[in-house]
Amino acid sequence: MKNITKISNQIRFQTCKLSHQAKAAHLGSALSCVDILTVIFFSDLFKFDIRKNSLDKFILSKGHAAAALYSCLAFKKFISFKKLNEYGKNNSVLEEHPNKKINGVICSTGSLGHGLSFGCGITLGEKIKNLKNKNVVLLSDGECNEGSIWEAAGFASSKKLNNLIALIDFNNWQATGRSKEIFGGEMKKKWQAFGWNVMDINGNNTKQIYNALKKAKKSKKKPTAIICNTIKGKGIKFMEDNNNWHYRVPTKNELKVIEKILMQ
Amino acid sequence: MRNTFAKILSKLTKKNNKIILLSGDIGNKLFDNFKKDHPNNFYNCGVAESNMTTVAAGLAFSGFQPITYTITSFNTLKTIEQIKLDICYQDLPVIIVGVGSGLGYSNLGTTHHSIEDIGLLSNIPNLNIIVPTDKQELEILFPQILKSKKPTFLRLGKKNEKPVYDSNKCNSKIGKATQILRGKNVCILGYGNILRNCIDLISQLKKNKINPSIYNFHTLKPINKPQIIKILEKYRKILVVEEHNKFGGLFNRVSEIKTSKQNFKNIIISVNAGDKFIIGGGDLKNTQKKLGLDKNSILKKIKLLNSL
Ligand SMILES: [Mg+2]
Repeated sequence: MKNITKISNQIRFQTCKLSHQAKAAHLGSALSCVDILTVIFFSDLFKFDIRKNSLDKFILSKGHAAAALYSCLAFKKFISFKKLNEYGKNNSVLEEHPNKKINGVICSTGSLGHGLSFGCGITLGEKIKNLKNKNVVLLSDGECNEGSIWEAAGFASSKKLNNLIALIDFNNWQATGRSKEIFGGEMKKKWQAFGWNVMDINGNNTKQIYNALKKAKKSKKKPTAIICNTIKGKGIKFMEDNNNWHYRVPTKNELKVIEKILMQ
Repeated sequence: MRNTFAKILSKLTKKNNKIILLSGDIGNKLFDNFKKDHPNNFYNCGVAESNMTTVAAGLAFSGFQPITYTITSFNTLKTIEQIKLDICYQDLPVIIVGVGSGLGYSNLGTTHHSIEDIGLLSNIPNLNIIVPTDKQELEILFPQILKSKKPTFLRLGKKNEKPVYDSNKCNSKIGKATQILRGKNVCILGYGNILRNCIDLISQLKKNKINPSIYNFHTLKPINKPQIIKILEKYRKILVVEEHNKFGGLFNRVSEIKTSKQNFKNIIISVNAGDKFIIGGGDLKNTQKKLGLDKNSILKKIKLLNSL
């Protein structure tokens, strides 16, 4: 797990660099889920053979965290660093929200509330085929305002999609305010009420993420929701829990400071 | 038409077990046999059309050929972003089936009318739009849709439609309108079961020395532009008949093709469902009459067109 921390710092820095280069927003949202992404892609829990799409699958339903996903895909060698550096530039397929033309992206996202249903469809299809692989969908807390999330939640439990795992990046911020204030009901109770296994963890603690996912993989009947309590902008003190970084982009000097924090 | 749909679906699933039927809590009795014969190929998704649509996309990603089935208005408008982003943007072979299209559910009111669906869906790339005119044509076109593996919207009527192809055999092919009557003075273009209203007028028209040609445009998208150009070259007087809003349907497509040819001097008249919410329409017959889609109104339009 020590190695995981090192990788997550590299991915954090890479993500900040991409945001700076492309002048692209949503950095805070990308940073809050870096630890989650790192465990998904770089621990021994899942196997991605993304070109053939035959093994475990990952869907970034909160597509606005694309820069963090692309950084993972580059470190995972699904895409080259040369391609990664084209992020957000004219004529690049690496747009600010992911699409299927990118190696390692199986589902195009960006409009919130779609990824969980897509994951349900894939998981149902694999259940019919008697496959045992796992499918992981990462949602944002703001995304759980969408009605379609709860349509998918009811569908997944009724169809006993035990191979489906949803992670909620609960940084308690959405674009314009505190998630808990903007949308009512308690996150944990909602998923429980919809018939899911629910775990509530520190979503910036790679060990807790790892253990929760390991447990989720063993579920026999129910789909699993892991509420990952995270800090928006995690890892860079001057960004942490500051919602200005939903849209702000780091300057050249700020990037130097970030490099010092993360890469030493 | 829906009974035929259920029947042919059972038949085709016997040969192709990749077919998965997703229902939005509808068609209980209708699909009883299907469910019995193919329990792993049917899933009731509840009254949650948006999720159903994206679930279908996910199933298609996994190699299946999913079909979503519910009342047209709910399966198109509630789900339009899912159709755009999850099915068409990702180019996945999902068939979206709408039942009771147009004014099929006329007496259930505006909530159940679907007269804007073609206009809205025509603007989404990768989507084919197919409208069979009767059950025989549905039987001919549905296997072709499955074979095409393209995202498709299949616009069905409800039940007990009068056949358009009685004794003459339907051999419609996706992508090419079918000529169902050869005439000369005027040319009628339409789709769906409203064409039956036109066919019923043939003998009356003959008494008035009008011999219309009738084309059945079962494929609204991709529209066959060369075929429309040929029709516009051959016939000066065109009537477009559609159970759809006056905007965004076949009349628009034919008109824009005519406009693109500067030397075309056709007169194109349209009968359609207007551009107003329909309240108090009553049954299909009464609603068609109110909108000018009944036989008598169409007859008057054809006479008018012929006199121009
Ligand atoms: Mg958030």
